[in-house]
Amino acid sequence: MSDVRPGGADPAARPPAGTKARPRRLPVNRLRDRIRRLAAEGQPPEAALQRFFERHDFPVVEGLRCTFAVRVGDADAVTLRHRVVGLADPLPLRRLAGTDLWYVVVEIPPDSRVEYQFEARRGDSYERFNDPGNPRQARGPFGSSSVLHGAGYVTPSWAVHDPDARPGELVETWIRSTAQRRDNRVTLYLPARFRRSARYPLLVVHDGGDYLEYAAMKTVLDNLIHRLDVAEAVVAFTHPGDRLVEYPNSSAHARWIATELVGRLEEDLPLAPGPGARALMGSSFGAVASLSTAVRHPGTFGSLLLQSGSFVFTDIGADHGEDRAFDPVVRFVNRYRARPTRVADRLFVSCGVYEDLIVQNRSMLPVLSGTGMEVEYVESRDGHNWESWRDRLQDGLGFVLPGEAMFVYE
Amino acid sequence: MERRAVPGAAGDAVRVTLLGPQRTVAGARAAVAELIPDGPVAAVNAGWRERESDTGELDDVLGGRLQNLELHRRWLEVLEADPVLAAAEQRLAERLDALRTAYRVRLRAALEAVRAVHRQVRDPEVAVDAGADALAALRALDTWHLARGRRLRAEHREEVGLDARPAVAEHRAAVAGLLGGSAGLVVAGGHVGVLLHVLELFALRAVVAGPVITWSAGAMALAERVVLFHDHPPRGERPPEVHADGLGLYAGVVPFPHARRRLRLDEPERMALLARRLAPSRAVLLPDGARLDLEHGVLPRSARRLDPSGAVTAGAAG
Repeated sequence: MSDVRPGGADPAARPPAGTKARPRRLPVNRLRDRIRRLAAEGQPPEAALQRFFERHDFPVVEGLRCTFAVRVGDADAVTLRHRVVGLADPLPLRRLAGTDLWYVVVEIPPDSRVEYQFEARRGDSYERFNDPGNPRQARGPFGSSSVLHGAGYVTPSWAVHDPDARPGELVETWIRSTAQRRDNRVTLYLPARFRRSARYPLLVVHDGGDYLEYAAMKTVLDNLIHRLDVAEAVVAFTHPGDRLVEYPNSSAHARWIATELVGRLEEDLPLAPGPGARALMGSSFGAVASLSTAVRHPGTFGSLLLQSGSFVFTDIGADHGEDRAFDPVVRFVNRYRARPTRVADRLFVSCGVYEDLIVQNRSMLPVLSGTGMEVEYVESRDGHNWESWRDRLQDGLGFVLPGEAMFVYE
Repeated sequence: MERRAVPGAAGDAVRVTLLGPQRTVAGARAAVAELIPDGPVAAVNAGWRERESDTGELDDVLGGRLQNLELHRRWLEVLEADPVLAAAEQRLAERLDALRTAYRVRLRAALEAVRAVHRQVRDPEVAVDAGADALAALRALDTWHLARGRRLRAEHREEVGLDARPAVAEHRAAVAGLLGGSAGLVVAGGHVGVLLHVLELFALRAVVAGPVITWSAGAMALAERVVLFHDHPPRGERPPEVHADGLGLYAGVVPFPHARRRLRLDEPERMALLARRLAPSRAVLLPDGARLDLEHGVLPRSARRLDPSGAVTAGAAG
C-alpha cells in the first residue's frame, strides 16, 4: 500500500513553507476547455469524459484544492453530502455544460479526512450514493461512505494488518448483569502470548462490536502491542442493548461496567490489581457512558479514553438544540460542569475539528483538568466517524495503556 | 585507549565487551570466537521473557556451545514454588511503580525548569548560575529516585529473607555451578527491567568472572546505572529516566544502544543536557556494529559518546 506510512500525516506532501507554488489549472477546467473545442468541432464529449475519469483518482486532490466529480444522467441537481462543520451541507455541484458531469471544487486543509456521499435530485425524488470514481470507503453502523484523503493524510500503518504482529485472540463470552437483569455479550481480547502466570491491565470498551468492526481495533491492538507502543492488555469489548437509554448516565449501566463486569473479569482472568491497571473508553455516547460510569464509581478506573464525547450542555435553560435522546446527557453534563469531581487519574480526550461536538469537547477541558486529573487532548481534521476514532487509537491507547518501549532494547 | 572513568571502580577485574544491537549477528559471532574461543558459553536470554528458550540463532552465534542459564524460567519456578515471595514481589512492583510515577511527574517539571532558565533568562551571569542550580536539582531528583528504589529493594530483600529462601538458594547454586563450568558469559538484550531483576535475584554479580560479552539491554543492565530512553514515542515527550542501579560490572559509562533510532541526536541542546545530567559518567552510544572492549574498566578511544555540548564525539578523553 503506497499511501501507508507510520502514523500521522506526511509533511513532505505539502509545499515547503514560504514557497508559493504556481497554481496549476485544475483538470476539470482543462476538461471544460477540451469539451468546448470538441463541441466547436461538432465532436461528442464522451471520449474526453472517459479519459478524464481514467486519468485521475477521485476526488482529485491538488494541494488544498479538491475536485469532486461524478457523472449523473437526467438529474435536476446533484449535491455533496457530508457532516463537515464549516462547509455548506448540502454542497451543490455544477454541471459541466453539454455533459452529464457534475463537479465542485472545495478547499480542504492538509491532513484532512472527509467522509461524503453524492445526492441526486430528480423532481421530488432524492438518491444518495457513494462516489463511483473513488474506491476508498468507510463502513459504519449506518452503511458506507466514500472517503476523501486530503493532502498529506495517510492511513496509519498500525491500522492495517501487519504480518509480523502476532495476533491476539478474541473470545466470546456472556456475563450476567443483575443490575440490568440480563446476560450481556462481551468479546474478550487476549494478547498474543497470553499467560495465566502474568498480570495484565484491563481496558473496557463501550460499543466494542463497532470498534472491532469499523475501527479495526483488533488489528490496531495487535500492531501497537507488537510495536511496544501499547502494553499487553486484556480488552473487554462490550455490546450494548439500547445504548441511547443505557449510555447517558444510567446507574444500572454504571453498576454493570464498574462492578459486575470488572469483578467477574478479575475473578476469571489474571488482571493486575488496582485502578491504575484499569481503563475505560468510548466514543460519542460511549464517551458519555465512560465519564458517567466513572462519576458514579470514582477511582474504579485509573484512566479514561473519551473520543468525540457527546458532552452537550446548556448554560441557561434546557434548550440544547439536539433531539430528545440528549436530554439525560445534558442533565448529566450540566450537573458535572457545575460540580466537577476527580473520577480518574488520567484522561485522554480527542475530537475532530469538523464535528459539531468540537466546541463542547474543548469546553470540557478546563472543567476536567481543573479537578486535578491529568488530561491529554488531541484534535484531528476529521469528523464524527469510526475511522477518525481509529486514527486516534495510537495516541489514546498509548496514553491509557503505555507500552514497554522504554524498557525493551533488542 | 584512554584513562579509566572511575579508577578502582567495580568491574575492573571482569573483562566486559559491549556490542551494538545484534540485528545482524556477525559482530557477536566474531567477538565470541575471539574472546571465548573454547568451552561452554553461559548465556542470559531472560530479557526475552517467555521467548527465552528460543535460542537457535544465539546458539549458532556461540558456535553450538550455548549453556542457557534460563533465568526467566527459574524466576517463574521460584514464584510458583514460593507464593510468599511472589506476593512480596507483587508489592515491591507496585511500590516501584508508584515511585516511578512520582519521579516522572517531578522529572517533567525539573527538565522544564532547566529549559525555561535557558530560554527566558537574559543576563548571562544569572543564566549560568540559575542553569547550574536547575541542573543540580535535576540530578538530585535522579539521585533521589535511585536511592528510594534502592531502599525499597533492600527492604523487600530483608522482609522476605531473600538469601535464605530455599527456592532462591537452590537456583542460585545451580546458576553458579553452570557459570563456574563455563568459559565466559553472554548477556543478550530484551526487557532491561526483567533482565536486571533476574540477574539480581540469582545473584550473578557475585559469581561472574568474565569474559563477558553483552549487547543492548544486557549492556545496560551490567552498567552502574540503568538509564531508560526513547526520544521517539508515538506522541509527546519521554525524557530519559535514571531507572535503577545496574549490576555495576563496569564503571563510568552509561550505554545507549540503538542511539540513532532512539535518541534525537540532531538536537544538541537536548543531548547536552543528557550528557551533563549523567556526568561524570559518560553517555556512550552503542550503534549497530559497535564493539567496545572494557578490559580493566577502560573505555577505548574509539567509543562514540555525547560531549557536554551535545555533539557526538570519539577519540578524546572525557
